[in-house]
Parts: sequence; structure tokens; C-alpha cells
Amino acid sequence: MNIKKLICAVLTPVMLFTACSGENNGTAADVNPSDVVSAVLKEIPISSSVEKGTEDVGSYYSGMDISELDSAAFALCGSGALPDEIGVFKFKTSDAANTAQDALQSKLDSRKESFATYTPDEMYKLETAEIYSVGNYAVYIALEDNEKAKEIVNEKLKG
Amino acid sequence: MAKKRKNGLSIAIVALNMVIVGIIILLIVLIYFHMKEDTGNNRTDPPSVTSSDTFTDSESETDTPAITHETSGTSPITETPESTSELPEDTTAETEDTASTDDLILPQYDRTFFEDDLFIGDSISTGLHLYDYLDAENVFAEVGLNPESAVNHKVGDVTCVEKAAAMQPKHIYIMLGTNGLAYMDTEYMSKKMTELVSELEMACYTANICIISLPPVTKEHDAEGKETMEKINDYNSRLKALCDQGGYTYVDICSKLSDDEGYFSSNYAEADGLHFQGSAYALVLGTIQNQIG
Repeated sequence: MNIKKLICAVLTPVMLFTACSGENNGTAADVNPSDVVSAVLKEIPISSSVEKGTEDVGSYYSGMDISELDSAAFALCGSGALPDEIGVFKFKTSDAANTAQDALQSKLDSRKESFATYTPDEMYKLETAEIYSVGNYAVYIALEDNEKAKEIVNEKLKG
Repeated sequence: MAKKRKNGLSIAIVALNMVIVGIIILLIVLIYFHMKEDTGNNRTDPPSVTSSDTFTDSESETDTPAITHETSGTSPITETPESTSELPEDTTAETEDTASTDDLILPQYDRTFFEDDLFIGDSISTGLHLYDYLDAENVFAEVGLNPESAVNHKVGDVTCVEKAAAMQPKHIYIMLGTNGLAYMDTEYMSKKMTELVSELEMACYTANICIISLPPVTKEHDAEGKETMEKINDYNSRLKALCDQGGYTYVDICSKLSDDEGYFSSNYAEADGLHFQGSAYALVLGTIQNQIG
């Protein structure tokens, strides 16, 4: 009986602390998408880069529900010569951010199809592209160094 | 005696609890300072993310605390045509010549002149709206598009013919062929261009169809042997003949973008010797407006 009490006494505070620490997983800070894109471009520039904002999302990313979009920023090669692209999309809800991944995946598939015969040397950027969501943010990365770009994005989203 | 032992045990349990809580608090404080030190040393600890290929459970996402939608300072960045970023150091752009781009005297163009028009083209034409020279609705362009693929290829769920039919533009400008030069015969490409023009004509019988010549390539690009000036000039001659026979408008931008030797001027050419710098779009639009207007 005493041993049972002892075990309970030890486990109760441990369980309490374990439960508390689980609440903050998977959160994203409230950051401006253009700040995130700028931070990435500073480290991994795009040749002939053009930077676009919220109002351009609808015409460029077909299939994305812009009624759920809060703000966005994306950059790509303006001359169309390269597949380089980075996009950060802040949505009103995390569900909308998750759903946006489908539209981003369609964009990536389309780019892969176009660039496969066009500039095969550039395909590695698309083959290692990253599409994911963090909280209310959806992210598209197809750059020279996607791993490094993802690190920068995640660091900024962490706040 | 038994009651005394029971009380003693209760006190011992409370004391033990307090010791454990103390140790845990101490551990948390130690971990906190350790992490803070790590951040100072630029060591990143990526947050929990959901990859598209592994995403199956949205529960953790919905558990995310609500994010405050602070709109201040979130104004989108839209570059003006002149504000392109610098090329990376590893590109082979002729910086000596491009440095003088600011001094170029470009023909004027009026954005509103093209507001009822449709441009059909390849990756080069995507720059018309990406560089913000024209609205996206006035441009149907896709990387890799050529006279053969243009009829059936869809951009945003519609083909160029479907888009033209819905839009009924005043002018339709077509600049296609650069992508086919490396592996298609110029005669075959001009035949495909004729078919495309016929389709567009049927869909928009009131539209003025204008065929824009292929732009030149730089001497360096020409030397690679894929897209050469010889092929470009041959194809452009065929396009002009097509326009003369069909009553369409032919717009020669090739000579406008060429240098003294007949190659793509480094004032307008991208590093790859094929695509456009921003200044080239202004020249093309100004040339078209001068001729059509």
C-alpha cells in the first residue's frame, strides 16, 4: 500500500508537467510573409527576381482559395528563364493553410512538366522543392538550396 | 502507534512531492537557459511542420492557438518594372553593357492601350505581367509553350483559344517559336502557327491578329547551336509571309532588339542570351503600340 502511494506521489507531478509542456507544439509566430521571403532572398537570391504580393496570388496560383488568404508574398524569376520560386502564404485558419498545399502541389507539378524538357539542368530545384504548412502559413520553396531556405523560413515562422 | 506511522508517512509523501517539483522546476530553468544560449549561437531548432507528403492528421494544426491577424506592415511587395533585383555573381550577364540600360531611350507605351488585348507566348511572355508591364488577365503564357503545343495546352484550366473566346480581345498578339527551334523544323512550326491562328480567328472573328517576330539571341547563345540566328531569321521570314498572305499584322521586334552584328543586344538580353531583361518588354510594347496605334 505504501509503495503504491509512493509511486503515485512520484508520478503525479511528472505527469502534470508532461501535460503542460504539450500545449505549445506546432505553433507559428505572427510574422509578415514578405519579411520571410526577403530573409530567404537575402541568403539565396533569385536571378532577375520579381516580388509579388497578396493581390497577385489569385492570378498566379490557380486553385488557391484567396477568400481564406490573409496576406502573402512570393518571388520568382521575372524573365521566366528559371524555376526558382519562394512563396509564403498566411491564411485565416490552419485548415485553409493545409488545404492550400494542394494548389501549391499543382503549381509544382505544372512547373516540373514545363521545365523537364525546357531546362533539365534546373530540375533539381523542383525535384527537391518543399511544400508544407506551419500553423496558418503555407510555404512553397523551389530554390538553389531548398534545405537552407526551409531552415530560414522555419526560423522566421518560429518568431 | 499505527496512526502516528500513518501521519509520518503522509508528511514524508508531501515532502517528497515538493522535492520532485523542485527538481523539475530546476531542470526546466536549466533547459530554458541552455536553449537561450543555443539561439544566441544561431543554432536553429525547426518548429513542428507538416510536409505535404506526410500530412495526414490536421488535429495538431487545429490545436494551434489562434494567431492575431495584424495587418499593419503587411503591405504586399510589388516591384515596378525597373526594380528587378541584382543578378547573382555566378551569372554571365554582360554587366558592362547592362550598366548602361538606364540610359536607353525606350519608346513610350500606354498600359491602357493593351487593356482589351491578349498576348499569347512562352516563358518570355510570362515576364509581361511578372515584371508588371501588363495585367495577368492580358497574358496567356507558359514556360516551354511552342506553336505545336499552344493549341491544347492549358494554363489555369483553359487553353489560349478558350481564353480568347471568353475574352474577345481587340488585338491578339502571338510570340511563339523560340522553344521549338532546337528540335523542330521551321516549316513545321510555321504550319502549326497557321493552325493556331486559324483557331483563334474562328474563336474571335473581330480580333486583329498580330504575329510578333521571334526575338534574337546573343552571339554566345547562337554559338551553342540550339537556337541560332539563322533559324530565327528563317522562321521570322515564314511568319511575315504568313501575315502577308492571311492579312494579319506582323510586328518585327527582332531588329529592334538586335545589336550592330544582328545578335540580341546585351542591353536587353538576360544572362542566358535568350530571355528578356525588364527593359526589353518596354521596347516591345512601345514598338507594338507605335505600329498598331
